[in-house]
Amino acid sequence: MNTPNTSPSPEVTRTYRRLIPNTWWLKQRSTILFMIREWSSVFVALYAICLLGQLWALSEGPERYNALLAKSLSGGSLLLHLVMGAFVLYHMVTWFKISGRIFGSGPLSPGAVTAVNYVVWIAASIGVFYWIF
Amino acid sequence: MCLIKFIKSLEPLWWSLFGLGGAIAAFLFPAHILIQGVLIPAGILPKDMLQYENFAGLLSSPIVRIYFLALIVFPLYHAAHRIRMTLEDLRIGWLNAILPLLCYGGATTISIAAVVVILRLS
Repeated sequence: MNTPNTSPSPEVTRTYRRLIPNTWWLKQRSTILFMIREWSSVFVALYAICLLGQLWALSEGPERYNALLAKSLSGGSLLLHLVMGAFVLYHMVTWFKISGRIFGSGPLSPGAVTAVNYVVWIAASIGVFYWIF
Repeated sequence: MCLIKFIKSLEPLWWSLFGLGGAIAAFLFPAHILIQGVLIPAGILPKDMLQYENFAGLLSSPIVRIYFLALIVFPLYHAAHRIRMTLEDLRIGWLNAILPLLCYGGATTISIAAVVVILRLS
């Protein structure tokens, strides 16, 4: 006979876990855009690795560097950079928007913070052009 | 498992690197990709900028070397953190347990390679 003080069986106490399919993000536009934003980081990593490859070739000497340079001037490389550029731009736009939401308070509205980010971005881009190249 | 627990305990560090790398990628990557990857190959800007002598000359400055190191390392940790979080959201069961090791370990390995390359350029 069961008494009221008997411990419940493990089946009874087991935590209920709601099963969510791993395609949950395909159901709404906002979650699809969220996933694109998250996966843009793959292209960020890819470009960092491209930069490392360029510096590695440079450290190997002129022969290796010129061979890589010839490849990097090809149509395929241009296409790859256009794709990476599109994802990095999406990362940039979403990053600046989130910055506005995080830091925008009091006299500085979210829109103002985002706008300042764009101004700094333009200045940084001009800086890269004149300082680095 | 002990190592993965330790990696997870460094969460504030991964968040900081994520933020810094995200900002560097947002502010600086578009210009680099546009200049090096699009405008020069498309013939809009002269190739001279990327010739061996010019690029090696540019990298002879320690400040520029540190700049390029930061340009590589921090965005890698940004990507590692985002890829880890996204894959966790996608609930790929067996992979979840080792994701921190895979993602941050990968970023750290490539970062060490970047430091070695930068030191070779010194």
